[in-house]
This record gives sequence, C-alpha cells and structure tokens, in this order.
Amino acid sequence: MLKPKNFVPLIGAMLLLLSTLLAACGEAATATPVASSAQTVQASVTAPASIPTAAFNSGSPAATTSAAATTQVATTVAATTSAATTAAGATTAATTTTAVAATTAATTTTAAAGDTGTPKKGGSVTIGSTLEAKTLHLYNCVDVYCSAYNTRIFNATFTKRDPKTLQVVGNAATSWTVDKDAKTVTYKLKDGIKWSDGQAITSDDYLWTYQQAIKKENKWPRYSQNIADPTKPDSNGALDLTAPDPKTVVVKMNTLTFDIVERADFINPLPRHIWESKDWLDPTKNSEIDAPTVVNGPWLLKKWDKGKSITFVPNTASTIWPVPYLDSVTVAIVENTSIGFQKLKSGELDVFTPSNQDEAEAETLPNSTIVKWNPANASWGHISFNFRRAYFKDVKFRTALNYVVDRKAVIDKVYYGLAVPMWADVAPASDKYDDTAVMKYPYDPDKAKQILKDAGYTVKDGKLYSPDGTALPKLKYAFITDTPEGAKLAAIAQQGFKELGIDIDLVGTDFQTLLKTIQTEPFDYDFAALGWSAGINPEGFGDVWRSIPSLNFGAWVNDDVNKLYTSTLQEFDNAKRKQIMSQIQSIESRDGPYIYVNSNLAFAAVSKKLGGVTATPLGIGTDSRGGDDFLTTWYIK
Amino acid sequence: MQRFIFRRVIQSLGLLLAISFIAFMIIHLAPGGPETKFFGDPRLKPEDIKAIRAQYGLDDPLPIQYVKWLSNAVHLDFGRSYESFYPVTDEILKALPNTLLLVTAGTILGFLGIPLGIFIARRRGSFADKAVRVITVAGSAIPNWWLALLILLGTSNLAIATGIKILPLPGFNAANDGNVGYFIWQLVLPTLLIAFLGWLSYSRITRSQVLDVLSQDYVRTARAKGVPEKDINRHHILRNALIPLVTVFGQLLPTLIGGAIIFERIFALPGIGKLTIDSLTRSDYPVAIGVLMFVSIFSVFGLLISDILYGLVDPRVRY
Repeated sequence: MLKPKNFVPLIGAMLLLLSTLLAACGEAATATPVASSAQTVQASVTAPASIPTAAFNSGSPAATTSAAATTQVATTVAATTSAATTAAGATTAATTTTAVAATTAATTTTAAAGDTGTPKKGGSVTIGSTLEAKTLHLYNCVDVYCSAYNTRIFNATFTKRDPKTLQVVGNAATSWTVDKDAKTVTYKLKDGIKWSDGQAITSDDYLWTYQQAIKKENKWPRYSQNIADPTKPDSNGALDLTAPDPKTVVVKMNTLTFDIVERADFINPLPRHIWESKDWLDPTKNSEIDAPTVVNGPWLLKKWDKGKSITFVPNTASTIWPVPYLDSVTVAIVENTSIGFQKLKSGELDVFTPSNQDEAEAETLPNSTIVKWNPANASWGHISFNFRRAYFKDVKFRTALNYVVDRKAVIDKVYYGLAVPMWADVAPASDKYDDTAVMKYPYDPDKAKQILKDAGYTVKDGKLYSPDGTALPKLKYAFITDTPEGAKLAAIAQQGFKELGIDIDLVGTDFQTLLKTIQTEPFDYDFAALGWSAGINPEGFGDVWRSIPSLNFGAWVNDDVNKLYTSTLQEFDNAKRKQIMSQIQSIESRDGPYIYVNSNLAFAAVSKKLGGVTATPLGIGTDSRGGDDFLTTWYIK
Repeated sequence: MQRFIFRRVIQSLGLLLAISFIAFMIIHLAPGGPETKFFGDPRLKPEDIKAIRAQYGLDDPLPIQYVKWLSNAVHLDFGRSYESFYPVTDEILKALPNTLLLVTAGTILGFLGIPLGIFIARRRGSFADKAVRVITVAGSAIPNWWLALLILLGTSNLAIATGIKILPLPGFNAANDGNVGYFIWQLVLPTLLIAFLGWLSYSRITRSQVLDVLSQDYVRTARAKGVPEKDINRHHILRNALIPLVTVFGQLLPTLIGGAIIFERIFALPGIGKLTIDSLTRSDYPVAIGVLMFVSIFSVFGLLISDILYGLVDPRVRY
C-alpha cells in the first residue's frame, strides 16, 4: 500500500536539489567598487515634489554650516558682479531668517540619538526600507526610491541645502553669480574635485551629461520639467547650458524667479570618460547604469541584489563629500512595516521607520532610540471641495465645515500624535509659516451651527437646508484606500459633518481611480481627501492653483492668491517674500479652498549602537534629502 | 491525437490573442498612468503631463498602440520597462527563478495530498478521516496570507522573547548574507503554505475519487481473485482516482502562480508575483502586460498538458 512516508525522502531530496540550483540562478548585480545608501521616508499620498525653492543666491564653501559664514561668503560674491550685489543683499536677509527658523524647528521638535562620543571608523549598518528602486540611472530616475540611492552615489550638483540651516550652500560649486537681465547663472567649480577613479570633474562632464539628457531619443522623463519651451515666455526651465572653461558652467534660464540658482542646478554629472563610449539608456549594453563603478558621491555601490538589498561602501576618494566613517551601509527591503518592525526588535535592522501605530512600542525598545523631526518638506493632508457644486461657493458653509473636522482627533487617532494641525498651504515647519496670519478652526460644532444659522441655513429632521430652502443632497466623500489613514480620516469627517445635518457617502478607491474621478468629467465627487509633499519653500505652490483640473482638482479660483503667488516668485527679498506668504495664508485659511487638516512629523528608530545620527529638518540621511550629509556622520559607538 | 494537439494549439493561440487584447485594453484604460508618479510636484503643468505620456509612446490612439505592441510581441519583443529600461523578457527571466523555486517546491510537496486522500479514504469515518476533513475545510476558509503573517509574527515574537528561533524572518539578514542554508530555512514556511493549498485540493478530491473507485465492481473482483492489496491500490485504485486529479493539476498551476503573488510579497522574494504588483502599482505597462501574457501562456500551456495527460492516464480517452 502506498504510504505518505514513502514520498518524503524523495521529495525532500528533490526540494533540496531544486532549491540549491535555483538559488544559484538568482540574479545579483555586483560592481567592482561600490556606491551609496538610502532609505525612504514613509509613503505619502502623493510622490514628493522635487521643487527647487530657497533663498536667492550666492556661494559658500561646502563645509559652511552657520548663517554667519554664509552671509560672509555672500558678501564676497556680491563684490564680484553688480548683478550679484542685489542678490547678495537678499541672501543676507534670507540667511538669517531661514537659519533661525530651521534651527528652531529642528531643536524644538527633534531628539538626536544622544551621543557625544568621538566618531571612529568601521562597522556596518542595516537600514530597513519598504521601498525599492528599479534603476540607478540618474536620468531615468523619477521617484523617491531611486533618488534615495542615487544621491549617495552621484552627488555633484552645484549647490545643496545645508541640512541644519537649510541654506543653499555650495556643493560642487564654490561660488555662483546671477545675471538677472540675461537670466543666467554662472557656477564656478571647486578646485580639486574628482571622480572616484581620480579623474578631475570638469565643466565638460556637466555639458556632456546635459547634451545627452536633452536628446529626445534618450527619453529623460523630467525633460519637460527642466527644459523650457522657448516659444512660451512663462515656461520654466533652462534654455541652454554652456561650459566656457573647465571650471565654469553657465546655465541660461527662460524665466527669472527668486530660486533661479536652484532651478538652474538640474544637472548632476555622469563621468564622461566612462560613459561616452557606452549606451545611454540600455542597461543590457551599459553595465554602468545599474552597477556604476566611477562616482562622485560619498558612497560606492558594492552589491545590488534587486528586490532584496543594496550595499554601499565608502568612496575613499571622495572630494566633494566627507568620507563616511562606516565600512558599509546596507538597505534591506522589507515588504511591510510589521515585518520590518519585527526585524528591528530582533536586531536584524539597525534603522527603521515603523508605522505610526507602532511608534509608541518602538520607544520602549531597549536596543534603539526614536529620533523625531519636523521635516522641512513635510507631507500634509487636506479635504478639498469641489467648487463646481453651488453649495461650496458659500464661504460660510465652508467655514462651518472647517469647525466640525476634529483635527485633534485626527492627529491622535489617525496619526498617533505624529502630526500637527494645518491651516493653509504653508506647513508649520516652514520658515514662511505665519501663525498670526492664519485663521484656526478648533473643533466647535456649536460655533459651526451658529455660523450656518446666521447665514440662513436651517436643519429639519436632522437634514441641512440651504438659505433658499433646498435640502442639501447626500455628498460624496472620495478618499484613497491605499493607506489606512484615508478611511480613518473619512470616519472622523463624516461624524463631524453629521453634526451639521450633512450626510456623506464614503467612496474609497485606489489612488489612480481617485485621481481619475477628481481630474476628469463629470467630476463626480464633493469632497476629496488627499495630500501634498511640501517643498522646502512653499512659494512654488501657486502653480497648483493655476492648474485646473490637473492639480487644482476642485477648481478653486482666487485672483488675489494667484497674483500674490506670482509676485512672491519674483521677489528676491526673503523678508518681503515672507510677508507675501503671510497674506496668502491669511486669505487661504479664511476662504478655505481646502479643509487643511494635518502636517506630518517624521521619525525613525535608530539602534543605540549608532552615533552621529542627528535629526535635521532634512531628516537623518536615510532618504534623498541629505540629512546627516547622506550618512557620512554616522559611526558605531 | 496529433490532430487533437494541433487543434488545441490553434485554440490556445486564439485564446492568448484574446487575452492579450483584453489585458492591453484593461491596463491602459485603468485610471492613472506612468505620469502619475510626478503628480506630487506642484510645478507639473498639463502640457508636461502630455509630454511625459508622449515620452512613453502613450499619445497614439489605443488600438494603434495595441497593434504596435502585438507586432513586436509576435517577435517576442514585449518592449522595455519604463522604470528599469530592461527588456520585459529580461525582467521576467530575472524574477522567474524565485517564483519557480517557491511554486515548484510547494507543488511537489503538495502532492502529499494524494496519499493523504487515499489514507483517509481507506479509513472512512475514522478519527483521522474526520480530523483531516475538519482541517481541510478550516484551511480552505483561512486566508493563507493571513496565516503566513500570523505564523511569522508569532514565531518572531517567540524568538525575541525566548531566543527559540523556529523560523527566520524573511528577506535580507546581514549575518547570513549568502548563506544558502539560511535561505532554504527562510523558504520552509512559504513552501509549506503553498503545499498546504495542494494538500487541501488533492486530499479532498483523492478521497472522494478513491471512495468512488473502492465501490466499483472491478475492485471487488480483484479482491475476490486474491490480488494483493498493494497491487489493488497501485493498479486499480490510484490509477483510476488520478484522472480528475490531472484536471485539478492543470487548473492549479495558474492558482499557484497567483498564490505566489501574495507569498512573494510577504516573504520578500522578488519573483513574478512581486514583479506583477510593482508593475501595476507603478503603471509600468510593458512589464504588466508582459507578465500577464507570460502567466497566461503558462496557464494555457498547463491546461493543454492536462488535456494530453488525460489520454495517457485513461486509455479509454482517445481524441
């Protein structure tokens, strides 16, 4: 008779043989030297914006970290050209304001890992990430996943943000000047900057990279965002890039805005001497794409096992960035935060961001510390109105709705305390945020009812009637189901609206479906709950309001706000720009294009064995933002 | 037989053509597109979105896009990934070993459901029969991905609390990087869970088939002739009970690939399942359609093989 046990030895042997054979077939990209690390922050509703912002102008050494030092260099540069004189003046003011604001944000809302030891070389770190890159091609990289890896390998843009002060400081450039009339920025490269193979980085690398990137056949996904259409006067982007000598790069822009220095800084060079003979796009013909051997960032790629892990070792020949203390950094892909959290607890991971729900438990772990920060580019959430509906045109109605969304409950129950209330387009972490200008809406159903009553609304049988006597229909509240936060916020909003006699249908869909609903005819929704990832400076947000319906889904139109946003882009004085932004916040918080709900804080659990981890407004270096100078300050205690 | 196979191959090709058309249309008509990953950037203008779609060749009318795709696909050129720029076939071939590893090991172990079915059929009404039936019904009702997570978290918590490590956590482990033994240990749970699917199907079907065959006259006759029980099992019961299992096996292949999607997610194995989810969530159309066609070809081929096997295991079946 056949018995199950008869099968076991045979199957066991087959399984073992097969497993070994197939495991050996697994693909792993391995490069001779190595390149950078990264982990991305929690997924937000929308992909983060790479919006150039920041104060207008002027150079400073890469090592500069203080406002005073930046100001000094700004003055030096100002002496160079007359065009730069105005700019330098603006920069001086901007420097002081931004630095103070940023520092305050960082110190009041963050806790460093708490080490005071002396950095020492050696050791390895494993960072957990739920996100994974598909390519390391700098010019086919469109999301946070590959950006996080690439910024550690290739990082020779002309400028960068100081992670502590948020000032625009020199990276590969030692100085720069702006010619306002010609709309050009001239960058001067630092002396002695080199690729990891010892070859000098010259302006020719920038020029060649630019020439390849703009070729139509090379399909640069960010082409239209960086290269201007010369037939359109308002088209942002560059018109040309030239290299008059090995140390100088001149970028001509189509428009002049306060952030021209950063907008013109869109070429991160690839090593021409390595890439020139290879295919630009096809990774099967150019191994440098996914296994780069010559880089300019602080890290080199050691091994990329796609979908599993990526390991970086220090670029010991780094000239732009400090050489990291650690021997290696590995980013391990975990499929969900629950597994990642278990790995953190078991010590398999040294750094990981668990879900907000697990944050409290993570604080109690004996082997790690929670590091929190208020990100300069915080993601924030809102409930937008569909202004095509007549009832939303009444500002009093919108005001009443604002009073019944319990933001404290949202922050406590949806984000587990890891968020702050939001009142306008400007997140509270920004130096442009003006707490005195915004109108706030503490949860107050009675006040909301009174506002409606004063405006002529009535409630009969628990239903709200507008001043003309028509009953309000059941409203559609669209939200995304990709993350649990959407449904929780919807439930809190539904409860609040019910207080006023407003019934809503909750319509949960995936992100793409929601976008289709709110961006295309017949715009079948009333409320849409979504979010934005803010830029470091919020001045660029005006473009949202001008883009109906692609970004301004609800079709809110306020000419004053549009004019103010236009003027702030042209204003080079940071203090004046701040005043304009205050006016914008005042109007928005009162006119209510959205029910602004929350601005998220960020955090990570960091192993206590790690030193040199400092929370900055740009994070701790685990993503593409550059906090901790891309992990170069980390060391094993 | 040859005519039958030829006819079935032609039918299969027609089926694949229909699948490709429907899949292409559904994927392209679904909301979103590769441009949506830029939507977080407030500076993105409508004309930029159009330009991005044109970059990806999505500005042509859909039927024209389909014809272009089909004319390349017949030459086995399924295009290139929007994300990695690798040919779609390369992406599939890179992901395939992990899926094959998971599915093959699980499928082979799943065949243990056949002797289990025979075992409980021969002991109809016994405690073992009842116990296995309860487990199979309960097992069918419990979502396997939930069971996987539960076991993973449970064993992990046990390891953290007591140091007793029954199962490792999935994915990269710095201390065991490149350790084949550790990798196999990581595969134990997903393999057993996939095998569990086979045990559920095979044991139930085998049991009912064996019970059916046991009551046949030829079995009684064989016993009356004094044929040893071992030979009755092998030649009379098993062979006859296997016929419907061949059909189940053919249908189980696509189910296993589908199941692998979930397990690859949970167990951090970058295989076909993970590739499918990534390509769909990132609107990487060429990869999404390529994977779908690959799985379709695999499934259609599975059904074709099961039809052919029918003829081999049942001499009465002739085409």
